[in-house]
Amino acid sequence: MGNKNLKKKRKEEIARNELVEQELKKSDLVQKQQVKLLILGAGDSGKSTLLKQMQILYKDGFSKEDKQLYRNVIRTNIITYIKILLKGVQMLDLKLHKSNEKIAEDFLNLPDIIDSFTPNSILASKQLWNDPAMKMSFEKRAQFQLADSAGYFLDNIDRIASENYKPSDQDILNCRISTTGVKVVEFLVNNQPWKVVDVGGQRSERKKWIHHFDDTTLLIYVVAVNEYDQKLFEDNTTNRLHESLKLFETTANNQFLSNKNCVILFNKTDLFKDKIQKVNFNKCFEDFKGSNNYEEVIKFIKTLFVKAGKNTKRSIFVHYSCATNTNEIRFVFDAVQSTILENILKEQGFM
Amino acid sequence: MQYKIKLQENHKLKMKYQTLKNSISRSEMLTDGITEDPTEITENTYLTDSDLSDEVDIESESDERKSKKNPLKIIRNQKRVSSPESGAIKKHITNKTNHLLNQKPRTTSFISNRNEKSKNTIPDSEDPNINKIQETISFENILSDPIKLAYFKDFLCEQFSQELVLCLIAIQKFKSISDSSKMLIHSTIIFKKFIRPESLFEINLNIEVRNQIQERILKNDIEITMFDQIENTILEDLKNNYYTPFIRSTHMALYQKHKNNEEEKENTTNQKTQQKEIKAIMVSKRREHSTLNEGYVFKGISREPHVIGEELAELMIDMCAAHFSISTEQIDFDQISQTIIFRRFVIATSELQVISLDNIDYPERLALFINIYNVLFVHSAIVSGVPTDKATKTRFMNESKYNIGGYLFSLSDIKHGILRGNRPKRNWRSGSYFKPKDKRANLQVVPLDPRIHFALTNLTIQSAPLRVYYLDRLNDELENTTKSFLLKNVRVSIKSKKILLPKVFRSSPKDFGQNQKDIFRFLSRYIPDLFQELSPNAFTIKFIGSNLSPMLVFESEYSSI
Repeated sequence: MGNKNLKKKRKEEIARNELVEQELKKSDLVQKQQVKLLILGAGDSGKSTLLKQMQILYKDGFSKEDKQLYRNVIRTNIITYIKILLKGVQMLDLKLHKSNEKIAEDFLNLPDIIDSFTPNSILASKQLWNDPAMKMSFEKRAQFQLADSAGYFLDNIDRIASENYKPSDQDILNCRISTTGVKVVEFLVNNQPWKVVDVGGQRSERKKWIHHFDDTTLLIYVVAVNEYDQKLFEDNTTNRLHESLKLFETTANNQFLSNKNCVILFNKTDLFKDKIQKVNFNKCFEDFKGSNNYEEVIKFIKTLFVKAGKNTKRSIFVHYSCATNTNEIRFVFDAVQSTILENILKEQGFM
Repeated sequence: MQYKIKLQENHKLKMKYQTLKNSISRSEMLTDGITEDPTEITENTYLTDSDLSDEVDIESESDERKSKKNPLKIIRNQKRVSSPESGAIKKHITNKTNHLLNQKPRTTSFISNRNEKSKNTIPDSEDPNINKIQETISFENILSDPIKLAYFKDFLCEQFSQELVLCLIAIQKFKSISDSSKMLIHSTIIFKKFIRPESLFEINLNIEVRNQIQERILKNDIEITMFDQIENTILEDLKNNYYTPFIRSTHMALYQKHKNNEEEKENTTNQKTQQKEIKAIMVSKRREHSTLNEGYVFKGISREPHVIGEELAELMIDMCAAHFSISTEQIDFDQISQTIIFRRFVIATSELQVISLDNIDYPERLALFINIYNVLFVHSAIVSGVPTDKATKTRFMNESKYNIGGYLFSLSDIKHGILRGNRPKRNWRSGSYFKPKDKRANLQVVPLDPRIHFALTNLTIQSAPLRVYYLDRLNDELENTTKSFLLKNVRVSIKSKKILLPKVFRSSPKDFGQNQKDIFRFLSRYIPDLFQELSPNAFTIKFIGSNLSPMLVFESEYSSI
């Protein structure tokens, strides 16, 4: 009797074991076919913009709800931007035009929510934005935390305030939503399944990155080159570019990533070109001895980063782009595809 | 033949590569020596083209190589198979919707001014399906309903962002407190858990906001509105980043099922149990018992022992609270084991290696070992799964150990050797638990405090919820725990003249006194109205709860006081 029971039990165990093995195989297969791209970088460097571009390039753009969400966010952001600029005016001891003082006072009391976006506040925003003191404050925005796209939206305020405003792709690309946590989106690129991981870049979010480090095919590290004179959102003392460099050094040499190929994307080059004419790069990086023009500075930054991630097990590819420009980004992803193909060929022993 | 196919495929690939490469002129390529070690290459590249499905066998070969090289990786793969909804342990049936329910979220202020007006919606809609859900379950609706909020937290858990909801709940709780001294304690906890840089559940905050709160706490300037700005940040974040994905996620579907149809829920339970079975085997495959706090060597001077015990217990409760899933109604130990928080916790346990056990007095020893027992129990469950039968339970109790002050302690060692004052495991045996020359026997806690039986967790329905036993209020805490445990678990049936007692009174009756009278005296202390009027001799005693099926009773509070 007992023997019979044992046999039965054993049979069950074998069946269960097979089930487990099957599950394992299945998940293995899925993983193997998938290309996993990891988009990393410090806060506000343009990682999510890159993801949005992929949405445009490889999927059918933005859905209705997305547009609805961005519309509200853009409108709320306008209120926030004006308030930040007003605080900047106070901080820099600038004087608003007399007629604007009262408006500014009222404006600062508005909460940062979508309901503040009323005809009254639109009018006030426009008036304030045209005030020379505000323009001055905007010029010196590196001293406080203002998103790079603030200028773009404030210039377009009439269009955004219109009754049947629908955000264009360009609006959405410029819209800033601070990412927290980890976003995983799957795409089909030239019949290849891609899994793209976008993360939050601020310090508190970085501890979540490690959950996605394994099985990475390619690391894309995004650097906003224009932020060389800005301070961190998290602590207001560390230079953003310094932080980004340090972060790249530790991330790229992490045990899971140290042998993965890596693309460094120097982003926001358009803003950088403007800034380099006004702010001396030497002030922020004392090691820099060259002359203060676009080519030399970018070459200097490139050497710094490549040196930080250099090792014998990987190749590093460098691209320059402005992430809100769809054409430039299409080009970058074409290059990324070739890198991935190269990986496969290497494995087959053809290179 | 197969080889030929492979060659052809590769040729295709190469062509594709060439054309792509030609199209790229601006990209710079800095090849810093391509690796020549073949294993390196197989490890960082995968077959990516779907055309190449013929080559699966070749891949599996390289996979084998990989597995030999890196056993860790395989373990990780195993973990991945198990979905987060499936847990290794049996379902907790009692109607505990969640610990989150303890606190009804504040619904008025932020919801009323967030009701979207028509001017802010795009008029013509294309996707009626999603819109319908969005209409019925708005963002505000989720926040005001604790059950929906709990499902939302489950979803956030997958994105590693559960801290947002945890913080929101903590702030709402803070707002409901009226006692000013309690407000100070609670605000400090919020600061420690969510706001301080490098804290366990750090929220992504601007430096100014952070400093402002810190200054207020230091100056003892506590106001009910002090966290409003943080609350707004979190709400914005949740709404912009997580609300729409949540509506489309499987968690929403789970919620709908939960709401709509009990029958369907049963079906999913069946599916889940099947998944659980698979997982249970996997858990047993990686079941390893060892000394759990020796992965890191602690360097430095340790703090007072009881402080470490309290801190570890707090950490443990935070961890469990963050991974308590409403859809499975249990703590997802497997998920915990993969988090950074857990890694930090393991590092924190290493401090136990160097504490000095020689000069600690009776209450401190009691508090310390109760806390450590609970911590070790859950730690062991995270590492090797919750025991589901007698054999695994015995291993569980004896083989997972902590190095405490240079001595190794298993769960049994702590329970019987220390807390029960070196008494043998089985009540009919005489003698002592530790062998005569064992130095650990010097650490035993005498006289025996019977209340420890209700403070030690065993992760089943018949154990007290996890708590931190603070030294300064140890007595009150033990008293509370014992009382609530007995009130819940002792049943008296006047009709059939039966008293149903928890199993502990059978397994170690001598801990409560010499005979049955002493047990009744003990019971009457905590449930006076039941026992004072009864004459115990007229009743037969039955014991309940001998099964091991783990059913969690879990509350996210540190202390009952």
